[in-house]
Amino acid sequence: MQLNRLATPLVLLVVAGLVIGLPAERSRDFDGTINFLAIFATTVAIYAIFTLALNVQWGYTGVFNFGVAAFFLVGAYTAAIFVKPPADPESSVRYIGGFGEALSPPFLGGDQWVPFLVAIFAAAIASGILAVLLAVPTLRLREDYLAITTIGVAELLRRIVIQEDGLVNGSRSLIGIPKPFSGYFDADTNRFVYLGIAIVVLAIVFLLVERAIRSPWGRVLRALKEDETATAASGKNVYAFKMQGFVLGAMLMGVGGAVFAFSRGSIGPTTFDHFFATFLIWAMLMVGGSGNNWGAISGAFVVWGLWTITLQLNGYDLPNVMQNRIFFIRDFLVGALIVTVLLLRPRGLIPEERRVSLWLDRRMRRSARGDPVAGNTP
Amino acid sequence: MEEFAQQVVTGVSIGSIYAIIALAIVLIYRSTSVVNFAQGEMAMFTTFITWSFLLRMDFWPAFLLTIVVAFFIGAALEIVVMRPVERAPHLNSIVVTLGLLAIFNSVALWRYGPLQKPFPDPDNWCIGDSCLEIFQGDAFTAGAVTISRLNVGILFVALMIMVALFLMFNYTKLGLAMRATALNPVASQLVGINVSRMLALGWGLAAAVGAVAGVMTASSLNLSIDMMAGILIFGFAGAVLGGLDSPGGAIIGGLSVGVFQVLAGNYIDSQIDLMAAFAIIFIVLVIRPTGLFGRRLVRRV
Repeated sequence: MQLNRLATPLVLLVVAGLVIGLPAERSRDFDGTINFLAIFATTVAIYAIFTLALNVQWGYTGVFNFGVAAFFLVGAYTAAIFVKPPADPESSVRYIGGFGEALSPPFLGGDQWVPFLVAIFAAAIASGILAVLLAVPTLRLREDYLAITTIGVAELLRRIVIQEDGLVNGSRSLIGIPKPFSGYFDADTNRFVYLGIAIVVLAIVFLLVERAIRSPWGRVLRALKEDETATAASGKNVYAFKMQGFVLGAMLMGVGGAVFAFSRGSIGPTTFDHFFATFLIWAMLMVGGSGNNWGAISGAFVVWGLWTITLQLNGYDLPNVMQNRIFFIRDFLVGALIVTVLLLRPRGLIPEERRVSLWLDRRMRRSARGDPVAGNTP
Repeated sequence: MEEFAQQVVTGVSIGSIYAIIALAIVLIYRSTSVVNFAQGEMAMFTTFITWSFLLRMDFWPAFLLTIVVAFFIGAALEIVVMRPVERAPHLNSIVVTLGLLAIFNSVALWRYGPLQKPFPDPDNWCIGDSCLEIFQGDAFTAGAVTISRLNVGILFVALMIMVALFLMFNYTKLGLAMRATALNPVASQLVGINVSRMLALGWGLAAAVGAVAGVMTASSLNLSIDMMAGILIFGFAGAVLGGLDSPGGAIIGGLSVGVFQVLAGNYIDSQIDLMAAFAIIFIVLVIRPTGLFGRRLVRRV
């Protein structure tokens, strides 16, 4: 029991130690290590936005979205065409939109932040619309059907991006996506600016989700996940609540896609394959603990940490048979990690808390003590 | 008209591979209610096993040996990996199959490398000197409609599997026990059926059927790590179309997805095949949420 309680902090500490230790040991250079860690933390923060969003859909509402890549893709591309300047008709680069200049007010250094803010909202709305379109026919079905439909739609969108190459430049990728505040700082400092932006967005998303889940609305979602029939029997419109949970999650995924597009600077159809854009995010949520927002964030940290560490190993003198196969080892490790965690700790590193509300807790305690339970007043 | 008939025949021969993989998905789903996302990668992996057998022996012994090996791999997976998560929330099992997907993929890459491997067409089926020429020889022609020997062979194999499974499920005690387990595990346990053994058997069968699908895919394309990725999506489509818990539905669903794909590719736009497949699924699901042949799920509370 003691060991069981220590396991989670231990895992987090070991991963943190390796993520800081390995690059420090290899480069023996303070600045280099700090730069590496800044990039690492930015990626973790972006992935954490996705795991939080998926947590709203799966962990709280119980909607089985297996096409995270679809919302990721829509969010990222929408954000990109909002901040890029219009396509140059002379060149071979073709894409629609390009509202970057139109959205920049000529004061307050507007071109450095206004388009980006608009783009984030646009990405959220585009993803939300996709979610509504998908949910209308499929949300009433059994969860397995929704899983198969969403995985299909993710693949479909990717194919559309490749084939309709006037849309977002097809398989040639969309490169040179502007970065927020890039005009103010040099490249080295900018790294930390992006880290800051990613963390601020993550914090806003986190607070929003926490706040929503602890509201009466959130309690209905959690009840829905536990027992759909009982929730319907207590007079809640199951379909409407499921739809709201699904769409909220999808909108947050759109936000994640936008932040990803800004920090990466280039996106193409291969960015959004199933392994990278869906599977890894599911792995993070399940390892961290679905139904718990802290769990979702720590899952992103642990899985991405292991992912990065495996590549770091490449710098050492490895036996020949491992040297060229480090990528396969990495995939294997992620797969094995999921299976092991789900076998040993089926509810993840930081499991869902059973508490529904503080008020109910107090009531339970009071009735356990034998005190008279006051009517409806707390 | 003849062109149309030709398209349908081509569609059926493409669809027969989808049908086999859809059948494997359904076999696992109806016994454990788990959609096995690793089905494609398991098939790919066992096909690599066939490939390494082929270096040492003829096609048919290698093929049969692979089916046996695949059966044991599938059963072992159920016992070692899936059984412990059976009691956990339903989704955990599905996510575990995702983990298996990554593991099979990376082990295959490690062991066999990322390059495509040539894979021979299956030999004709010979006993002594008399051969059943189903896989090799001239294409069949009827009027303007032709179908290659390889496709005839694949269709033939798909039919064989279907008949064998039908006989097993409907006319043997084992089949009856497996159907009972799928319908109501608790009651089956009460009448003395070894439910855990039936579940392991279900996974073993599915892996074996998947192995056949893998070998057939490799003979018509080429053997590579990602050969099943595209096919799995169409296999899912076929399974959903037929209703996730009906083996016969899986076959018909798989074949129709193949036909739709070819027809849409020919008459509408050559790039639209995937979209057409999904449009069909969407329409079917909206009208009949349990698929064409699925059972209505009645829940008592």
